[in-house]
Amino acid sequence: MKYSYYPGCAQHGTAVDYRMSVEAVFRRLGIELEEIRNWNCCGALHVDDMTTRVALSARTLAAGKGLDIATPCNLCYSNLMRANTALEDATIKNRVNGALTTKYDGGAKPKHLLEVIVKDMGLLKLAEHVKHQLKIKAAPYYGCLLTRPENKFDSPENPKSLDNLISALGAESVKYYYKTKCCGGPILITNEDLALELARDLLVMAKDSGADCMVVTCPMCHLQLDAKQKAVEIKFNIKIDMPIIYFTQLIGIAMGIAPKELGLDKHLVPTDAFIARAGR
Amino acid sequence: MRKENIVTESRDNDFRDLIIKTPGGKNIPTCMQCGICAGSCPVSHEMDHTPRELVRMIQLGLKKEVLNSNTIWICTTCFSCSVRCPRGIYPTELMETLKPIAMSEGIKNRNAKFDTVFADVVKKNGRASEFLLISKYSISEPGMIKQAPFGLALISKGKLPLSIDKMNDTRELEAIFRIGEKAGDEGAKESKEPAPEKTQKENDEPEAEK
Repeated sequence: MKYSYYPGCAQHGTAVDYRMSVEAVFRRLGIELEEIRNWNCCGALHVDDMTTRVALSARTLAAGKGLDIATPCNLCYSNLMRANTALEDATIKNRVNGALTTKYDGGAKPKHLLEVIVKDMGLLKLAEHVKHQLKIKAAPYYGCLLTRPENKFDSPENPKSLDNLISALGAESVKYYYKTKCCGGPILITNEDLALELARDLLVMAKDSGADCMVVTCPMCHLQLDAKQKAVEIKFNIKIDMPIIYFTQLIGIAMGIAPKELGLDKHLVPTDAFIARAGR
Repeated sequence: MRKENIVTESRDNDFRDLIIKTPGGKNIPTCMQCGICAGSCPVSHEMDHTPRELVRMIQLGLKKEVLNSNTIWICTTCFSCSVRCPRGIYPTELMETLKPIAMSEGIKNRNAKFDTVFADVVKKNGRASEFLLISKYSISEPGMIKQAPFGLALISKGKLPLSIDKMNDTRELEAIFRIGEKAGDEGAKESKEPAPEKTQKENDEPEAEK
């Protein structure tokens, strides 16, 4: 299995732990991720001219070299998916192609890494790589942009792929009613009070569901729920202490990869007790 | 629903038509005010107009009220409303459509400032280095100093590199960003021209496509 790989900006910064776990796990699973040369930012949710934002993703889609384009980030994924749809309009496509050196001609399929594992590889195959059945309870948190506004592999209202992945690793996927509710990440910098309110709701619900950790698929969700967890605790005077684990890290723990290689020591919420409980 | 007196002077049909012509706008005339957008929104309690109200305000052409509403900037872009709207309106895309229009009309706030910084960083470097973004934004937002301990915590974990992540070659990015700059100029021209022969069709509700 081979993909063109679009890491996205966060992998070079706040999501360095995600990057480490992706590299460690995908190499061992035998899935090749060939990084796109000289890739550019997708514009996230902050390049406000929509044709410009579509063009940023069109450049990435045109660089796929006939392979599907895999990405670890929910924001990048949604921008790539939305760009494909927007570029069905000939006027937009012409305007965009006017600015591109390698022209966009459709066809490149964006895939989130979760989709690569769950759909392309399959959970039965993944289970063959599991060395330790994880004896923990995990809350599956999908965030917004993995399934909305469009995706080709799961339901936008009640997705199951991450639930199933957690089960395939021997862990219990708890009923988590806020699995697709917004974490507030996009407004963290500009409206922190409101962003922390949203994060609190998610964290408290995860705690109430009896989860030992929340499993995430997006660098923005991780920043908000892990790095800002302490701010939530201070602002609302509550104790949460909920480890936020990237799904690739969870796979890595089950495969017996050393926590350090998975970047688990780089979280702001300590993960030691969680790793011990996970049965290592 | 509350009945409001809307004086003719507050209505701007050019604005309404401009929004309806955008990719996300074509179904706006079909809104039946069911309110599933407002009910699905995780942050509507902070908005001065819920998404449902905003759609109605666009149907009525209330340009000033729409562009001055905090709704556009409170939206977290979660798309919950968009996947549920029975008319296929995509209120999230509507917020995205309204942002650059509001900015070109001189609306200033923290979000507009952050988005400007973000676009500028991507245009110049091709990538969004978090440290560079926050430093540039903080220059004009002194309140950000409160975030210093948070930044230090990230740095101590190796999560906020102080070096700038750059593409090898950003020439193509300049061309890409020119698309929006050109469109901005044309859009500004268009909205100032008087739009002829519009009154006749005013009451024809365009049918929902697809």
